[in-house]
Amino acid sequence: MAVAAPTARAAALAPPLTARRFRFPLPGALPPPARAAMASFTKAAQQWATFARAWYLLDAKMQPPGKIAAVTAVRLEGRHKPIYHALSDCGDHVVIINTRHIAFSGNKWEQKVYSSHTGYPGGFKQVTATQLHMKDPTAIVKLTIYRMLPKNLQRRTLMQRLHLFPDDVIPEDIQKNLVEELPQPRAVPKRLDEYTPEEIAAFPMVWTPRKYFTVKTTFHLILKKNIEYC
Amino acid sequence: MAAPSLLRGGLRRLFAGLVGNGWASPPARALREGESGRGGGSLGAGQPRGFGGTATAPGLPCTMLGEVVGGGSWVQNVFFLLLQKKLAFLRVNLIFHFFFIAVVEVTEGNTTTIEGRIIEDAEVPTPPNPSGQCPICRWNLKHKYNYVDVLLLSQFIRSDGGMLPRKITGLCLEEHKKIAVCVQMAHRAGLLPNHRPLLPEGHIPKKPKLNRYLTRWSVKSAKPIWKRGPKWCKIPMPVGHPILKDNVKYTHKPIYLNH
Repeated sequence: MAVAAPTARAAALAPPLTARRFRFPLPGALPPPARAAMASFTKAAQQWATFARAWYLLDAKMQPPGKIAAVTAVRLEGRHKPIYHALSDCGDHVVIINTRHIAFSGNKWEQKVYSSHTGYPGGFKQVTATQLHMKDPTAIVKLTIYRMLPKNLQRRTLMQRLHLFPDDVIPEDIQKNLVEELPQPRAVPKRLDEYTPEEIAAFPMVWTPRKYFTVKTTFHLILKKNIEYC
Repeated sequence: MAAPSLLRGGLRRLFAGLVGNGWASPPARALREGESGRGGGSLGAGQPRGFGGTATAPGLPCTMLGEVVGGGSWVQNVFFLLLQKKLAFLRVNLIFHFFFIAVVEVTEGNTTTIEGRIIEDAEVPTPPNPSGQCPICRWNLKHKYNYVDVLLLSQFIRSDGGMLPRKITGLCLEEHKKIAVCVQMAHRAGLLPNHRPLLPEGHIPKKPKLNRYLTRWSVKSAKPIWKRGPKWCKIPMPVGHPILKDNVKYTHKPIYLNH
């Protein structure tokens, strides 16, 4: 009910659209959904749970920064909430740890270039992702999220609600605020030494070497062929 | 590389009778850190060998990983090639013998017995499709593996990370290429930490500081794209490999090979 009402009533009351675009809501349109008009004691907890600003934790270890940024931008804007409205400032805080250990797919560490200009002549600077990451391990994730947020004045406010840490270490006061850990967007594959011996034994041998076979070859090929099996 | 160092020492004695004068002496190699000291003559039985306590199932060819089994003995499976010769002017007849040899080292008091026992055909389960031409077809894995399936990929590589030849593994050409590409990507993703090439002694390899996956080109060969171009004509950054584009997809999302 609360979800459908604002939009339905706004559509009924709003005057027909004209060619001119108004920055502020048209007269007759509803203001952005306010916090509840009349808060009752019995519904206080539900009120707080709906409108409070939550703190989420996200581990960026072995994750691509693009997928991390997509999840984070959604949370920062508040688009994951059914009560979302662009003007109601309903975004949450997101704390990202282990940004030093992000993983790019492909050869992006070498190919991706981050450019900037200082404003002065001859001030065009270009650095590869590797160089930028060595200089500042949080910069790549920060830039990716900044560029994924909507390009409006709210962006800077939302970036202030983003907290990036290169390693596991989080300050005490932020740690106390954390509510939930978000699932990692990419499934991290297991290394060969992380498999248990039982799993390795359960996996069958796909081929067996043949017992004997004859090969005719010339002498110089033997010398050249680095016989690695011996 | 397992076999050369093994043959340098103890096993050479065992097979001295078989080898004729056409023996091509394998190149000298220093033993790797943690590699079983078979050839070097170190007889420390019962010492944990292998890399950080890892173990492989008996029967995995060409892997150097040993397992400590109980106290005082360890078994290592080896796959190597014995070269028998007959030098006849410029043409040589070679007969390659492949065995699975279990090298058992048992210490009783101050006597250490090193024995090589030939294992005849460890029990291998029958593949679901025995009429296939290559192991992948026989096991119905045709478009079903990727760079993450390290248990499968490790069966086709040597202990220094290189691929085994097709004539030995029996793979068809396209599958061999696909496995090679997957093995390359697995190496670059760091999923095969123990299949590293031998390094000269005293050389400590640099640990890579950057994580990556689905890397198509080698790290040193990729150059920065200084100008990517306008939105309608951007230079893409390739991800994955087109040889794997026919893999089975379990979601309806397309595979993007160019980011």
